[in-house]
Amino acid sequence: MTLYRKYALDVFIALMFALIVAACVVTEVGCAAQNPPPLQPKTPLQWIAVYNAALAKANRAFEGGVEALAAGGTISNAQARPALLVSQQVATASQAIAKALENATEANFAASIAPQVAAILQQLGANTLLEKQGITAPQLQQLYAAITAVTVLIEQEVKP
Amino acid sequence: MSSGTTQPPTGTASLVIAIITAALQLAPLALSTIAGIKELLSRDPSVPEQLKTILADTEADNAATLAAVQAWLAAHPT
Repeated sequence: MTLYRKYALDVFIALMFALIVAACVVTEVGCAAQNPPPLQPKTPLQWIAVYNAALAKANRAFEGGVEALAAGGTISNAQARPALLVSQQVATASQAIAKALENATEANFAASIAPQVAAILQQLGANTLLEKQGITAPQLQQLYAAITAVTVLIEQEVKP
Repeated sequence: MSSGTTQPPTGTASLVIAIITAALQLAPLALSTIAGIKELLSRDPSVPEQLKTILADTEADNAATLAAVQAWLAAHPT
């Protein structure tokens, strides 16, 4: 039980850390708005690569969080299962996006890569719909919101 | 954020953490939030240089996630 409590404590500390870092990010964005730096052009391909990296890391944290919460008894295995199935599908989709980007160039992005990424995300949405409805624990809903938000960022880059 | 032309991997990692934490706090995302995240990324010159590293890290993260999920499902059959 002591080990389980340690897991739960680790998750709590991780969430607190995330909130503190988020506050720092908001502060930095506020300062940047007052003193806007010269922007370096970035392409949608580069945005998607970074967002997809964030998606993979958020999903990795989500999966670890689910396991820790289940191990600590905060959620049941029955609650953990649909969340982990969603995590599995997100990882599969993110992997497919990364593979598509390996073959991407700025020249073939709009015609070839963007439609591929859009189709992957659309499929992900369809696949995860049922499992997502099974995510009832508030802790998991908050973590899942981060994944959804990063997915939205990628979608914006592949819209025609 | 980062500066200079050569960035250690931790620079990109911090960007990724910034995106995740901003997304955590602000969902659904407002347009101003997205603009803020983009601005942070625009100030980091390491992204184009590290594209292959970013993709490799992404694939490693996903592989680890998939392996962990498979292991958990195998250990907790319905």
